[in-house]
Amino acid sequence: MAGESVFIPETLAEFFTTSARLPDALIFAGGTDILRTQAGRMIVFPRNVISIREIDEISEASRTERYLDLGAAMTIAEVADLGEKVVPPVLYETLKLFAVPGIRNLATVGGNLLCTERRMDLFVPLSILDARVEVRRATGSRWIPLSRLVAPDGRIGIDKGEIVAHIRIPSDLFELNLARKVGSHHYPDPATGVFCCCAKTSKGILSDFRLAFAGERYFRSRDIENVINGKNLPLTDRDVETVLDAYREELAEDLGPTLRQQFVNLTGWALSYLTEKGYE
Amino acid sequence: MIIGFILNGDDVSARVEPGDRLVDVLREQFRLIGAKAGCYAGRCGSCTILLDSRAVPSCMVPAFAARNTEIITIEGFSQTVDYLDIERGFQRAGIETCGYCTAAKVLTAHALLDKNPDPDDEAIRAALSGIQCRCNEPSGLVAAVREAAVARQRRIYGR
Amino acid sequence: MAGRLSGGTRFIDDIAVPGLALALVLRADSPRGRIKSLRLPDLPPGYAVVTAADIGGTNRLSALDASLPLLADTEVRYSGEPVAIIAGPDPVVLQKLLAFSWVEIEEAVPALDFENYMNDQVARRRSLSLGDPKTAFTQASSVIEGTYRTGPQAHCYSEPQGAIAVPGSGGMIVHSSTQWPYHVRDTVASALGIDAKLVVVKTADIGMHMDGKLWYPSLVAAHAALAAAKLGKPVKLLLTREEDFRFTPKRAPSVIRHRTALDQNGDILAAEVKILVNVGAYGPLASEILDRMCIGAMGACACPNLTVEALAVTTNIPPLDAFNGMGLSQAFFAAESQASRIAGFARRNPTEWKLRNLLSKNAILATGGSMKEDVPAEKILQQIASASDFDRKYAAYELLKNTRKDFSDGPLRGIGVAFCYQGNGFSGSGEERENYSVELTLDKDSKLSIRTSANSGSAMTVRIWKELAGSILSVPVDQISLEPVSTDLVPNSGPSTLSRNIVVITRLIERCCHAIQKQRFRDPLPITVKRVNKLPSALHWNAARLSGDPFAQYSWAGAVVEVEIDAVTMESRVRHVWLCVDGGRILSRDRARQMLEAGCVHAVGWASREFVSFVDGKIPRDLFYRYHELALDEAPPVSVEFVENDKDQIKGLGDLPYNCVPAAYCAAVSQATGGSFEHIPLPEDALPIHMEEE
Ligand code: FES
Ligand code: FES
Repeated sequence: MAGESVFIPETLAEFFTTSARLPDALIFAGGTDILRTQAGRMIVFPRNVISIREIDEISEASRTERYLDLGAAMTIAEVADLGEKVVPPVLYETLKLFAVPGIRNLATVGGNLLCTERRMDLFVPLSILDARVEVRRATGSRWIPLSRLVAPDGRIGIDKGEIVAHIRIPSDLFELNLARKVGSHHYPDPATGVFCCCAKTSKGILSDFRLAFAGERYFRSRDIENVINGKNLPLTDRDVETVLDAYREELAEDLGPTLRQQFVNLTGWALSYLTEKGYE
Repeated sequence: MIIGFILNGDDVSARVEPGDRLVDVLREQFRLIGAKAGCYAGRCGSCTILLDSRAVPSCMVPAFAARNTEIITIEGFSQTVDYLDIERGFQRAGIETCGYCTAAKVLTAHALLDKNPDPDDEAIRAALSGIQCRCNEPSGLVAAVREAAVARQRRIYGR
Repeated sequence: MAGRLSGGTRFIDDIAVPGLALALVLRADSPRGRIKSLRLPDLPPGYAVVTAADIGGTNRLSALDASLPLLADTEVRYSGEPVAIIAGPDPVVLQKLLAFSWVEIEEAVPALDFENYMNDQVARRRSLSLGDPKTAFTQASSVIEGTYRTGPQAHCYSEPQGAIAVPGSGGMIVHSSTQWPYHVRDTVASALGIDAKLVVVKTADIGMHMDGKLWYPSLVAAHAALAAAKLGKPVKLLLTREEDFRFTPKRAPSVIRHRTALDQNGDILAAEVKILVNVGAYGPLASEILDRMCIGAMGACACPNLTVEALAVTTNIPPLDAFNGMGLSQAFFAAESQASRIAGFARRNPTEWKLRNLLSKNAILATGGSMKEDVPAEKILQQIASASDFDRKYAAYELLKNTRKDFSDGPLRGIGVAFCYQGNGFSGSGEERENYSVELTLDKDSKLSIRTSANSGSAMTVRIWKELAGSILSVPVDQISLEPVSTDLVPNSGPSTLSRNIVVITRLIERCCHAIQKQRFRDPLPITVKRVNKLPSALHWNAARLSGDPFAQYSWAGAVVEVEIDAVTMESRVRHVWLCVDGGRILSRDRARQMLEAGCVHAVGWASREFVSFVDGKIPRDLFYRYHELALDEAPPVSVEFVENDKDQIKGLGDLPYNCVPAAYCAAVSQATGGSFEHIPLPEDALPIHMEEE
């Protein structure tokens, strides 16, 4: 434990200088994911820690007509505080289901996305909203889709000396916005899962259907989404069965029996909004 | 390292190790024992304090992360007029808890009322959902916060 | 000092003692075996290690039914058993020393299973028989069988187990978070090998103890005291929450098999009950629990022909014992679940079936004694059925179950009912065998002080005591004080369990008050009176044979639980709990309601999701991060109503929810899903898997 050091840069420039010197340092933002499984008196950190809590450049949100930008070091509560009018509905609903209020006040958007063990709550809505991530390095920045930020096997798509600075969410309007959480709502658990679905319609046609789920595994299939995109509304029972079968098949080995069943049921429930008995 | 922050209105500094948790620093260096070191895992809420006006579990905050923040513990909060509203609410509802996480509940109730002066039952339950406590008698606690909201509105707007 | 609301508490961790050193426990990491060696790092100055070899007195703690070593000496019986104490000033250094310490164990095959036990695992055996069950079974028109399981539950008491020991002038002052200060005193004295009078135990705030602080605090206190003696400095030993969760006692789990012989109407003719309870290593409270389980084997049902066979089985996992409702709550879960099953089989409305089969005044008890009180079954069941609209819902949900197709029909619903008693003032084996007492003094200035070692933890109990004394002696409540508990100042009042405090201690206070009242017009003040507990003479009890009248008094309750299962996610949620209680004279309904509401939430937690399991003899570390009580936004709404049957007696009622809510919960889930769930807590994915199979 002796010999640990903590660095607290106040600007991105300072951050890059420090991280160039200490490429293996742990980047500390909200810390909830690091601390939640350490119930000993002392926190165990690697040798060097860089805290990014005081960097204002990545702690603020901004908005244009076309998108909403979230600073990666914003806390969940800060995003929620932007309000229902600003935050897209699926994301907003997911924020409300996020852990407990005290943790929401600490956990950050970036930290939640970068969890390697599993895809946590925010990954699901941000992924179906087609959010992109700004990765900064000392010499510039690049924008990547979420799927490149964290690969399905948990590999992180950013290099040493890089930092996730912003998350950009396109301001699309969806008619259908659904978010549900199963299993333990308050604390992450193998039985916890997050489900989100959005859909757009135009002229009686289902024009843009998106659906994702994260439990022990993260799951989204654009192939299946494309199968029903373009169908006439309301969907027929056969359309629904076809899609459900496709998901069932895809998920056969991916999830435990409980989560799989829950996911399939949730999908059926979401699709039912687009059928005749529809909910809208 | 030495960090400076505002604690219950005063500028203070503390010498901390990277692995120290804020809750232990508050309890041991400052003898502020209202926040309890319970689970050290962000699960029980008994270590709750106000950090920049937000209720957070102080076991989940490494001491270094308190640098340049403003922290209020129950010891400081209980000296404010805001506290009196919460106290009145709890007394009106007649709830008797053992004191282990009571400070956490008081601070959390205040943080809620700060943002939402007139919360409904659902909002109250959600706000307090991070405090795991065998003393919880849900309806009493909800009534206490509701009463506190009434007391605060009365004080500020003369009812 | 600040009030409780503003942080003015005195838990162990709040007590400031100058020069306080800390201590950590080195634990065995194997469920069973012989200790071959103990490897300890070199200690920096100011640090000390205590092992069994360092114990000057006796390396033993005697609980009510068994004794166990303070520090394992040669043999290890559970993973997590304390082997040494390391103490010193700096927590970081201590943590390192602990990390470099190691207990080498020659492992033996552990006994981890209690259902398929070996003979040498049996710690206690009990049996009861009444009437002629054999003949009755041959005359039965049907026989219903069921096997019911209850799981362990973690107390999650306010503060983890802990103690501070301060050495001085040949003795030791111990601050303890205990329900039984004199037990701490005697254990510490015998560990140190000194006269018990040289040890003074002062209680810290205890908060909600859930009956988890009966004997274990004595072990922790002895550890702290041994370290303090060796170091020559005050020592604090406070377990972390994780350590506490994984290595200290939990509620004892059980398996109970019922066979019930029914007549042609579906009413009880005879029953056979087989009870197994897992008491973990050493089984410190084995017979306390087992006896209660036997007594409550039929729940509150009358049964003229009965056999009960019960075994307490030890295993190589941490000791398992008391939790609110100890013993009775497990027995009632089984008995009431069996009752629901019978009612279902006989196609009878469960409340109507109960009314025909419950105990009534003068009925013979399982122990051969008789019920001396009125049983308010009818009042309670009628009141609770109408409050919850039970009959209509029960019928409607039966219908719904058979007609629904898929999730578009909305959530699945079910409703269940259970009835129970809480036996107060157990005449039993342990609690009352010594002369426990309470002392009161009425001062010259008419101030009254109460001295008892009972550490209630509940402001409500204290208030009850003060109000009672005040009303007898016409002393205003603010003139009455409860002496702080310190073994040199207050007499030994025995273990303060939830079900005992109210009855025994309250009765003693009442008797002291009456005695003072008599004397005060004859003798000058101050007057001091001490009264020693004895069993009411009308009760006959033979502890060895488990026969006679087991409890000094009974309180009663019925619960209705309504559940809803989300048709999409298959997750269950309790919509409402109704509890109707006959708890004798109730001094403050508001307070009683709050306590019972909290109890209902804990009971739903136990039944639905407070899940503890042992893997290779220990609770896996990740379970600590997954175990949680119902949060405030998950807790069901609870309605509590009272019926007053016996208006004079003050009764204990805190255990009632644990005795009836779980069975009502399971009955409700069973109705909703059309399955039959017979064990609590319901395994996490029981519902989805069950429903998928449908
Ligand atoms: S001690 Fe901080 S949440 Fe439990
Ligand atoms: S106030 Fe939380 S345990 Fe008592």
